[in-house]
Amino acid sequence: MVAAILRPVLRAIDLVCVAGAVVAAIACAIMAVMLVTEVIATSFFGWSQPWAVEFSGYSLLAVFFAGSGWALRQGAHIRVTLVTQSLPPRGAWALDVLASFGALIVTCYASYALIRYALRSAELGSVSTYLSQTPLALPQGLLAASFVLLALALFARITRLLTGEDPELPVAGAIE
Amino acid sequence: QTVWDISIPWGPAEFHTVNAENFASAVTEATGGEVEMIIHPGGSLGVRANESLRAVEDGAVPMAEYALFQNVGDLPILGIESIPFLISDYSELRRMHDLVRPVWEEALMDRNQMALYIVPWPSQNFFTKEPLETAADMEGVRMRVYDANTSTMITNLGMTAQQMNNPDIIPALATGRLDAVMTSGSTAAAQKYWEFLNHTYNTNHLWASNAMTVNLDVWGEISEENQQIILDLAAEMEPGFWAISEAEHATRMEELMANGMTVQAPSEELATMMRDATKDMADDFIAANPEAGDIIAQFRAGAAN
Amino acid sequence: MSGALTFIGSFLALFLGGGLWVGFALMALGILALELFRSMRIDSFLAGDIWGTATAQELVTLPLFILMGEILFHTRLSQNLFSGLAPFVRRLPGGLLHVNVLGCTLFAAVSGSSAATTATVGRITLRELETRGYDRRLALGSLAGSGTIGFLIPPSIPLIVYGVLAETSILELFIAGIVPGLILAAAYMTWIGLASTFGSAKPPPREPSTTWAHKARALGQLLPLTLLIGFVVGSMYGGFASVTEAAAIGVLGALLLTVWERQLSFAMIRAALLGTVRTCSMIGLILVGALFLSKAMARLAIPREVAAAIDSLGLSPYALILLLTLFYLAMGCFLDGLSTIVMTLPVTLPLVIAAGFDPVWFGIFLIITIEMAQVTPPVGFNLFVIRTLTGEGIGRIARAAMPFCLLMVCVVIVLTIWPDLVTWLPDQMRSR
Ligand code: NA
Ligand code: NA
Repeated sequence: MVAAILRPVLRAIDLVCVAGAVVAAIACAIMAVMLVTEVIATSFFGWSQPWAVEFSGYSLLAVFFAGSGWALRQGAHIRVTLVTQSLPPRGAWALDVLASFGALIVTCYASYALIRYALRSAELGSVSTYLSQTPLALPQGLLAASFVLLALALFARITRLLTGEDPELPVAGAIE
Repeated sequence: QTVWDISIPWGPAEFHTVNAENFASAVTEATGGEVEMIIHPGGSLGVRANESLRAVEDGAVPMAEYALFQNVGDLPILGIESIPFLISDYSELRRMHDLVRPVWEEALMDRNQMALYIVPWPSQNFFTKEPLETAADMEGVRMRVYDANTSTMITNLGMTAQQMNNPDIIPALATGRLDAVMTSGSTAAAQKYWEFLNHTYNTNHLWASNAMTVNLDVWGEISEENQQIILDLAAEMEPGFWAISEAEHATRMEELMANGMTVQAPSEELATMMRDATKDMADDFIAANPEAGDIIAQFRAGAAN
Repeated sequence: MSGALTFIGSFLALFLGGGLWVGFALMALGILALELFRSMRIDSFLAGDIWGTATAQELVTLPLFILMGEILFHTRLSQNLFSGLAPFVRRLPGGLLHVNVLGCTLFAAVSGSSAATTATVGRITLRELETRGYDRRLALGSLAGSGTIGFLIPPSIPLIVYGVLAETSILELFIAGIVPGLILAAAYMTWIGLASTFGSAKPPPREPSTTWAHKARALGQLLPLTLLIGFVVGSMYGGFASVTEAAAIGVLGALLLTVWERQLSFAMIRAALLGTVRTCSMIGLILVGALFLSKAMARLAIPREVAAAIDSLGLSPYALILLLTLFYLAMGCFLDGLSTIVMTLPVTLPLVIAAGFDPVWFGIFLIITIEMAQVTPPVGFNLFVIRTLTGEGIGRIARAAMPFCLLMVCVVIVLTIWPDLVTWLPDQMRSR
């Protein structure tokens, strides 16, 4: 019964987290293209993209955080496993649940702070000082959304731990 | 005892920071140690120059010093003194501040803060590698700009307006990725521009001031007596800070010359071109900020007398 | 102050030991410390700080260089590098392990960030060293150590930050960093040689002997990567690209090489981008945590009070440098090195100048302390990057990096005794 409700929820969380990773990957590509264009434009065409510096900053926040929830599922975030390794499986499991709860609390607090920050920017109509005058609520909203994704991923992780499922996907690519 | 952290984006040796240190110790002494202000220079509290107004408003830091023009994204009226070629010297700047300061103070009150004192940067200059005398000289020169105003001006002059982040600038000057920058003499000397650049033009194209502001919530937590002491001190010390700023320009120009840079007034052609390139900016500013219309009209009327 | 310090120290151990992710642990500590010891609005301080860190322009090179490394990882270029170098290092004790040091030193001329250097070079070297049967511990340790050389050899972001704050010539700092950077590299190579000859490390495999024709062909295999580094360095020193843009030029160069090698495909680009996102997510979370904790410490005035306490001791010049080394080493264990410097500089710089040291020399000294912070546990970014590359535990990586951290301390001692090693080159330039 519980599983029937949870299964689609977990799948939906996985999906939005993957979508976040795609956003991060695209932001990374845009950043590279934009800066290469800038080199060519300023060196050979006497022109500069007035948005290059500003938008590479916004891309950076997407690269750092939009894929964070996905990275959690991939086991990419770093923790010290010294104690967990020496515990019996039951104890390690309990500690993992506890740590995941702790992380969820921190992420929820950070998400709350970032959402407030972005909403307040929207309310005040704060814009960037660059030529574009981008409303700051937009990139700040993206940052807040990224943290919400991370919170969802932590919720999914805890759910998986409690239902006895492996919370992390096996990772290809690392040299073991 | 009350302890307030002050976020300052500039380095510890910058004259604004030194002023702030002096102000802070005067406050500690005058309040008998009841109010202590700790200066955190170099942006070490993580509050960026262009987000300082917001940080004080939110109470993220109790106090901060910030450049007004860098916070126009939050309060556009703060940019009035940075309209190119509106103000020509310190006495005119003083007069502009007398006119606009009540408006600024009200706007800052709405943003939950109060300016204790406001002190200008020394006047602005172009620093270039190659001579910049004629229109042909300006063709394609990569000049670093830092906001919408300067970006438009430089583009109108036929140069390439170049946004660039701070840590990139010195290496870019060294390798020739950047041909020119605009700033005050104190920044130029602090960063030893003579190592990369040859010419200084005292273009005096705009003005920029720093405000030292305090969050109103924390302000309300200290006694009225101490509030009065701090306000009096700020009012008393501000003229001295202005004098330091004014003297700074001449000192720094001598330092630049001593290190082999030329220092000169812009050529007739450059000056005319710069005025032409920026002539609509006051009207644009008024269109975007109607409240500025009266102030600028009054200011210009005063200049005519 | 000591109460706050005890609190932070013990809860850091508790959180990290309990298996809380490093970034969350640091952020939680910052929040709790401010909540307990300071009455202030924490949520907007935190939000503003995360926003500032997440959009900090000086970090833009990081994902770009990591992407460059990922692209190279998916080509034959890393194998080529090793088979190209193998014939030339066969008589060298330590063999191909020196590629870590040489690669990082070379890459340092392009990258101003230590995490980017470690990630990019490690992505190319670690797998090859592993498959060729080199001692894992030396491979990991030498990568962690040499990755930090990126701070000493220009371009270097920490040197720029120091130069602006201390109003010291950035040009002179850049030039001053070169000799100590090379000394550090030489020290690492000597250690690798000693450890593989006399130490308990697994002896490196002898690369097969080769003919001159083979050697010539091997040189050809080194060409693509040499061209790539030349391309990026050239774009920067030719005045075409800024330090930040050079990283994007590196990505372009890596892509051009894959086209040349006929290995460009959509699947490869997707894998490289997602690999970059994985690594950057890891770094981003720890970075916001570490930088927020640094700001919290600044609000609690801890680093400055400790520095001021050192000031009040009235020490002799050598004792002062010794104590400052220990202080920065301790701070660097759990704070970001650069933040610590920014926070303490107003106190320590006048102190050191008064003791008769040159501000350029002190800048180089501080940069080496930042390098140490990169490899000391529990919070050391190079350790985390290597953990991501290999899946090895932080404790083991930290132990592998320990000798290299001690070598940095030795280099600091050498530079303190012979400060001319730092100031000679910039002096030559000044008198020219
Ligand atoms: Na470097
Ligand atoms: Na460390």
